[in-house]
Amino acid sequence: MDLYPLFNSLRIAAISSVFVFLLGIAAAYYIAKLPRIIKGVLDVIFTLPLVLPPTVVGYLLILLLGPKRPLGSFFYEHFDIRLTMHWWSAIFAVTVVVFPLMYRTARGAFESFDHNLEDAGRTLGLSNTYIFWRIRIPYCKQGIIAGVVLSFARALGEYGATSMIAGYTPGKTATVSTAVYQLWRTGNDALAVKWVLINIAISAVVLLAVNLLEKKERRA
Amino acid sequence: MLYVDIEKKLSCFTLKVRFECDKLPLSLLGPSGAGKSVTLRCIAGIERPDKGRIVLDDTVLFDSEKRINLPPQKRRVGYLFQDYALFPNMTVWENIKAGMKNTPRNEREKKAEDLLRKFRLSHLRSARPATLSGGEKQRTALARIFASEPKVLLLDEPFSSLDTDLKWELEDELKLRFKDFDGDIVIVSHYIDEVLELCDHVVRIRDGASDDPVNVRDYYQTVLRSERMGRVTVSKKRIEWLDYDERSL
Repeated sequence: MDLYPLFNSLRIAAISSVFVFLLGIAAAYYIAKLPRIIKGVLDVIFTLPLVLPPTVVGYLLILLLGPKRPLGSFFYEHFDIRLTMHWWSAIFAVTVVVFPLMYRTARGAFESFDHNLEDAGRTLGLSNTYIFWRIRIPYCKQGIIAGVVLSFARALGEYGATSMIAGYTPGKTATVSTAVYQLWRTGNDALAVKWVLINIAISAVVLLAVNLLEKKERRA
Repeated sequence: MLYVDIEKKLSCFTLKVRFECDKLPLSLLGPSGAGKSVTLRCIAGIERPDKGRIVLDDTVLFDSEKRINLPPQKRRVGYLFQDYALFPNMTVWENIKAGMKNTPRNEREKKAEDLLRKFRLSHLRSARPATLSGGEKQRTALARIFASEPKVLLLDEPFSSLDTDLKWELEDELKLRFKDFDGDIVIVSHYIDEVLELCDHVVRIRDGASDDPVNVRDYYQTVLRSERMGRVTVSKKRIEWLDYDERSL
């Protein structure tokens, strides 16, 4: 059994989780400082990928990244890089689809943050960067970790947008979820079941981790 | 010296506060919601007044006409929050050291040790704020403030959430610290008894406007007695003070 899809899924999910972590907490942090109307609009835009079908997200990404589309043709002409149909193309898809999960969890965690701590830090002469990384993030640690784990779990299972932007090439762009579909479609049920079981096992472990974290948070 | 003359529109009224304070502790007195805390937050730079001027010694902290508004980090204010705002993820030792941005790196250890000793916290150095008692939290917060070498102390209702025993303890602690603090001190309170022994002058804030500073004893005798005749709360210290006062009259 070729384990490439598992390896590929894990690396896509891991790299996307890093991006989503940074983008999600940045968005959650800065949106709170914006005027109310802009905040409302941005909040809708940021959350939209959560409720849109992943195929719609994939389609929109192709409109942006496709070889003849604005960003895609720019990279193709200047750097001779095609942005779609690589294993790493899936990172774009997964990052966009998963972003709302991290963004919303981080925002919820930040809302519980005691702003006096930030003010206290500022009057003590601490820089905003220090306050963010050393006081705010540790304070909201549990929520943020839960957000990252949840994002990772969702990233592992992303199918719709990934298949549109990275396709399915065995040994190149295949992921667990695209492999399951292809194996079922080609009648290879035995192998499809194996991948299904692997997928269930990983997701169960991740969700267990989220639950344990939440329980720990309640105790703290 | 601290000079404050600010205006800020709040949801129900416009706050206009003006006072000056020169080394002698001053109290902002008024009912809840009168704008005392907002004033303090404006001095600290956490909130921004609509217009006016705030000057500390030779530094202009805020000037709406000259468009100066220093960030809190550059104001050198020591702000004691009502809930102390200790960093929960840090130990007592780390909390104190976090405030030492104005101390050269190689002197920080020693200074933190001194502060631990001074505030009787040595045995708690690796304790987290959540495990401290109210009094210990206060002392940690004060130690952290002094670690940042402030030029002005701003105390926001320091006694509000304390039971009586702790009040006296903090009062003694503060009296002691005020003595060797070379800077201005502003205490916000809604209750004259709390600041009677700590302050020299009182600025009363009511209906969003501040009165001129009055000597705390004059204030107590004239304003308060005439207004609150008969509503004597019994507290040991206050009665002592009253006795002393009447004897000297």
